[in-house]
Amino acid sequence: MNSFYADLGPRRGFAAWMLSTDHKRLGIMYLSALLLFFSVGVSLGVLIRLNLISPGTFVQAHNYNRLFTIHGIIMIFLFIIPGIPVSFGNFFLPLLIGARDVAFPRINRLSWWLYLAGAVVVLASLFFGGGPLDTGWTFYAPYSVQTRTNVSMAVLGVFILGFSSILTGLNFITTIHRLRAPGMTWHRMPLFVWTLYATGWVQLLATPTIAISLLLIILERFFGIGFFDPAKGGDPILFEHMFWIYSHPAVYIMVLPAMGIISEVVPVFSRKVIFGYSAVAYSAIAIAAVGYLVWGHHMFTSGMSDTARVVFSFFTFLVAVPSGMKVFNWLGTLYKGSIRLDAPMLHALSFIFLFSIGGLTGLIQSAVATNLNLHSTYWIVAHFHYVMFGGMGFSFLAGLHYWFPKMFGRMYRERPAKIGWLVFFIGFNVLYFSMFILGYNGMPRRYFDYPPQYFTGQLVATIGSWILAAGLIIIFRNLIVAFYKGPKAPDNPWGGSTLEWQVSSPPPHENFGKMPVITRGPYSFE
Amino acid sequence: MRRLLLILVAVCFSFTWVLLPEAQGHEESASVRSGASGELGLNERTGQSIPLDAVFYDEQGNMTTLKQLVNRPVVLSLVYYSCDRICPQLLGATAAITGVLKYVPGKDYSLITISFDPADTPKTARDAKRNYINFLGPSFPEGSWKFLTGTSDNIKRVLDAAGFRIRKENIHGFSHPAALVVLSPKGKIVRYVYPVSDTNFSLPHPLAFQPFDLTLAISDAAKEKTGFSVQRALAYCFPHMPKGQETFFNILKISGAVIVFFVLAFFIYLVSTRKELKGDK
Repeated sequence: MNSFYADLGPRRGFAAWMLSTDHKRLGIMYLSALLLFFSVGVSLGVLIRLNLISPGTFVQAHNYNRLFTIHGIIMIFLFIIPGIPVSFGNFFLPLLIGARDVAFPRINRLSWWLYLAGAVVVLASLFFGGGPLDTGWTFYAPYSVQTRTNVSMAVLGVFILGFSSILTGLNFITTIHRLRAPGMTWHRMPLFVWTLYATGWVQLLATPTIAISLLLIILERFFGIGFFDPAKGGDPILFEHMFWIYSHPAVYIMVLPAMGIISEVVPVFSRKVIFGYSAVAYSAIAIAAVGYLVWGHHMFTSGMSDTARVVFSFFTFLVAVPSGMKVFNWLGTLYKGSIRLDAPMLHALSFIFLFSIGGLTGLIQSAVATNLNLHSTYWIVAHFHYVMFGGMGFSFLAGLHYWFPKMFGRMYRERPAKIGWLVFFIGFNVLYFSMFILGYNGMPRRYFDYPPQYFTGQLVATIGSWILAAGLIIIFRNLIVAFYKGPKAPDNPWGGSTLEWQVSSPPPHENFGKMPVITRGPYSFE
Repeated sequence: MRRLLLILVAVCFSFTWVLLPEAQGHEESASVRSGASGELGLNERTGQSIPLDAVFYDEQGNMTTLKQLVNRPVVLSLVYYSCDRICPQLLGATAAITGVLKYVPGKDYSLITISFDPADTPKTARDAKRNYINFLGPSFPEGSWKFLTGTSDNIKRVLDAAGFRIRKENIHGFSHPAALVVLSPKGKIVRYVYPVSDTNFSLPHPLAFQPFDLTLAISDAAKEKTGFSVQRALAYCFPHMPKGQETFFNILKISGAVIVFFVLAFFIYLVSTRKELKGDK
């Protein structure tokens, strides 16, 4: 049977890909775009670190603000938020539930185009108008309303990306409700599907809020209305609320599917049924639900009543419960399992370790008293890189190694993959753990310069960034070599029991010759 | 497919390279659009000088030019002495931070407070100063913190040079931004330092300055090196009238309710109309 890489329609090559409605092709295109933006983001991050060992030598002060802003915008809006749902979600959701495609293939294609359009507008904002923006990725008013840099265009780009995200969420929710194969009950769905489902609702419900707030920024810049300008009776804190009402749930858009991948990888490489299936599934829904109610913890120092602070703090502690449940369930799955430490598993285990550090330091911050001291320091930067990069990043790589044979039909070499993982893991911790110490000692975030007592910490972090980059180069070099020259992959190299491993590698057009009928749960290893 | 990937890789990396010279090319000292927020606000004028020949009266009533007072790094605050809102907090925070810095006032730096209310006199300046000097105790060299008053012409020159735009209000004295301006020994503006809400877990929140910010500013000022202030939400001193925002909040509530309604309706539709798919025969 023809793989989906073969052009069947009248078009060939580039046009056949861009106009395709095949979820697998869209997934591959998204994946390549994501990896490219990721590499740009990493390069900018390395530059930021480079400046910090010798402020002013490589980058001017004002350009430093632009650097960290663009690093943030590219990483957050072009890589992490769309991230796993659009790439692995698109490719594997229909395969995992036994469907031939998503519910609305053409809307899926529209999402891809919107994503591209949004990305182009964001990148164009670097070159037109006042040049790259310098507000930080949070666009806080009133500075974002006042700066001469090209905020309007960048914000418009993010606005368009939001629509792409909403449509993807809508599509996935409908697909999961409507297109499950016969016998694929809710409790037989792979856990990755559960997390995509929870994510879909968050995308649908939260994204309009940021769309509106960004629109208000644009209106304010062009017409000077004054929603957020205290000089005109507006309120900058209002923007912070609206921004975080979206952007905190967005953290769960990023990390829930990442947890889904871990829930797929851990059982396969432990040869065990996942421990506490329903707990893992429902905790995803619980995280998505409670995640709506915690945004205020980003604003404990922004002017907020004590009552509000205590309530937000309480909910923040609460959201740690379902996250902790997941961690314990993964550990329960590992217990007495027959563990194989292949590259996907190494990344998955790193996820559990790093995400736990990220999560537990999150608890330290969610206590109001400590938060007031740690707010806006490197501690926060370290915390969110542990959650985002250590969480979503490692999970993304776990997924990439796990599904690479299925997506591209080739096997990569295991040894370089493991070496790359080790170097990456070491670099990651050297880079970000030193930020915890710097932050605890009072180094504020987003500063171009610092007094001499912080130099050692900054130097260690920068050296960590080089090690991290070297690890990523080893990992991706290995995968790129495999993409071109790797040996042909078998259909089921890891002995997985979910549906995507029952079809050929790479999967055929329309996924299943004959619709599968499901009679058992997703993780059974006999 | 492979060619497509290669093209995409090439395009994307070109962004990194294009970005760099672009990012290096734009060097502006004033990054904020001028006049963006109308008559009230603060435009940073880092790198420019304040008028050293402007004449003021100190709290003893002696006439002095700024040139006579600015001979080491100076922490300048612009307030008015009858203010009962943010100015006392700002000056209180300034007094509090002098005790924390490793620099010695009167030796490494000095403090100047200028009132922008022409109605203030050396007597009101003396009254205002007494609070902070008492707070700082006898070890603080009193002469290192001057409380100045002056005529509206001289006040305007200093405000313009520092980029402060203030507004006279009917309800109370003035609406104005709250920030410290750090000057070099030659009178050049090297950095603006913005207050943050204190980490004190109590209401009302007094303002505070971070020792980190001020240390860096003073050490830069001594070297005549201009720094780059971290933009925070500006603290303003102004009468707050939330009535005008009610319409806005109503719009927010309605649009929120509409979104939630549609999302719920969609969920109910999906759940209530599902048909079980049949397998291929």
